[in-house]
Amino acid sequence: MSTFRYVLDNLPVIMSATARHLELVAIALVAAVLTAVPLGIYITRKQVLADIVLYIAGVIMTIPSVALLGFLIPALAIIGQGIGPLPAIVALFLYAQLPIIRNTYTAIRSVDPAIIEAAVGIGMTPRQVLWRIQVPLALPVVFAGVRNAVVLNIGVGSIAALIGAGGLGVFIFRGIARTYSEMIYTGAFFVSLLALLADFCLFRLQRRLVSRGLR
Amino acid sequence: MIRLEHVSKAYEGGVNAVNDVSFEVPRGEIAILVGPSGCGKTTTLKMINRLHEPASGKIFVDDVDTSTVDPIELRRNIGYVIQDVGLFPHMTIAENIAVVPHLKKWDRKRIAERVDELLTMMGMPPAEYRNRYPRELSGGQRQRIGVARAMASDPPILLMDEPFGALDPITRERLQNEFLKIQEKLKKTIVFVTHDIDEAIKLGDKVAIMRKGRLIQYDAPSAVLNEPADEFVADFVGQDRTLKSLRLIRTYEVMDADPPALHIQASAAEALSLLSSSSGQKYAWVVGDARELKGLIARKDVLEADASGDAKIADIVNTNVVSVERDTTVKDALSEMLSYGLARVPVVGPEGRLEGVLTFDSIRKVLARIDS
Repeated sequence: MSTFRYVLDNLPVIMSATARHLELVAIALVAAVLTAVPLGIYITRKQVLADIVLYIAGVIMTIPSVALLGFLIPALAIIGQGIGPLPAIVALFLYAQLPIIRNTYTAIRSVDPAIIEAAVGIGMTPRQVLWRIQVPLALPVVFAGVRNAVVLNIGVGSIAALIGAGGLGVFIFRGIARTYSEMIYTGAFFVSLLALLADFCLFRLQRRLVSRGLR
Repeated sequence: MIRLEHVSKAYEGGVNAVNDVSFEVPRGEIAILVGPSGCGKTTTLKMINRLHEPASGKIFVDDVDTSTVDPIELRRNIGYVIQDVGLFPHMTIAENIAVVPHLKKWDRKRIAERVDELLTMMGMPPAEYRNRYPRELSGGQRQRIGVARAMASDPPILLMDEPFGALDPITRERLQNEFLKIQEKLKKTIVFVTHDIDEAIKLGDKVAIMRKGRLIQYDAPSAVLNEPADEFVADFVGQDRTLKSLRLIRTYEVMDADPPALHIQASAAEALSLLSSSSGQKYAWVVGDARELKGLIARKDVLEADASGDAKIADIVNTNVVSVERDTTVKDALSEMLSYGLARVPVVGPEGRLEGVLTFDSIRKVLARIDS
């Protein structure tokens, strides 16, 4: 009950933290989709490169998020951005790579070879086969990867508070520091809520973009 | 016209390889490539539209060496049908059919008209099917769409790779018949791959029997049946050559024309005079104004009905009658008769008009003729 009270009393602050949280994740994710999807498609044609890229993306995933920020702060301090939103966005961007690259790669590769042969056999160019056949057919699995990355990023985004990037993590870390559990609950609750909402919105977008024939 | 000259293609282990194959398919004819799996028939087919490139030899389409043509352009002018998996699941039926016209940049109106025309030809009302997706169709319907897609831009040549292979026997039979009817009108030059010798004999103007990459025999179906080139062909064709020959004969060629028939408005008295015991006639077909088949009536039905008063044929006719179409093969008609336990089956033409009757006796006479 007291958590509810806390939320009511601090609503404007919570809302602005939520907006900030969403902003960090959204920027990182748009950038991640723009790089990871083309990369995932590209490596379907280069087996050796595919193994290397997927391995590196996998390694990045295993770095604990706090440690990743630890690397990024000195690295970005060179351009005067060691503290603040940029290292947080870069970290989220890196974490989003593996699910999106891997899903794109797998989805494009698992398109039925008979369908591709039919497309080539009736006179499509390789580019047409990619854009008219492979990409639309891969879309549901690519979307699954993006949704995965979004949920992951919204959770990891809480860490951004540690390096002064703001977001809902602020409530969690301050709550821990002050053993103020209502604050911790508030932060955790809104992080979960945001993750669920973002996933739902992407699900709706997926329904719009993916052909009805694939449902 | 399609001509292969000494075409070869090697694969490791020899499976699917093609070894010095030459044959020619005249304009408007169907050549069927048939043989056991791995014999190179599909490889041969795919070299025609350059999905595979021959290692040596030349392939000509309308006297043009295909190796000198841009493969994309070549493929857009050759219809290509594969087993039903070849439809694009994310596209509607209309979009699937329209793929090649779209690639050829036809205008929207012309494409829409062509799609409707093809759906109608396939017996699938455009309004009902246009916007459906492949997964919403049955296997037979999907295969029809596969054929429609291949014919969309009206290419003179079709390549078909086991198009009916994944269908149940009844649907396959029906699609084969439809296919022959369409071909009769459109006269495409077709190369068709199957592993089913019965299908080859039924559909082919020419049958090419392949084994281990070599073309063993290239001949008309009747020649393949009656004069197999070697032991292998004889084996492959099978021992039941006589029965297989029934696939080469159409029902109208052996039926008894002018069967006993009665108009549906006739009276019981008229029926009795036709079916009198002195005539020896025990049954008659009942037809309408345009001689369209309505049903069957037997002498004992008329006698029973007549005893109870002045009956009309229309009231006592048995309308639950199985019929076969005039250009059904005798083999199919025979299996129809056997599965329904019929000693005779009416043969109908366009609009269901009664043309004759097929009996076991007429089939027996044909068999005797083939065997002699």
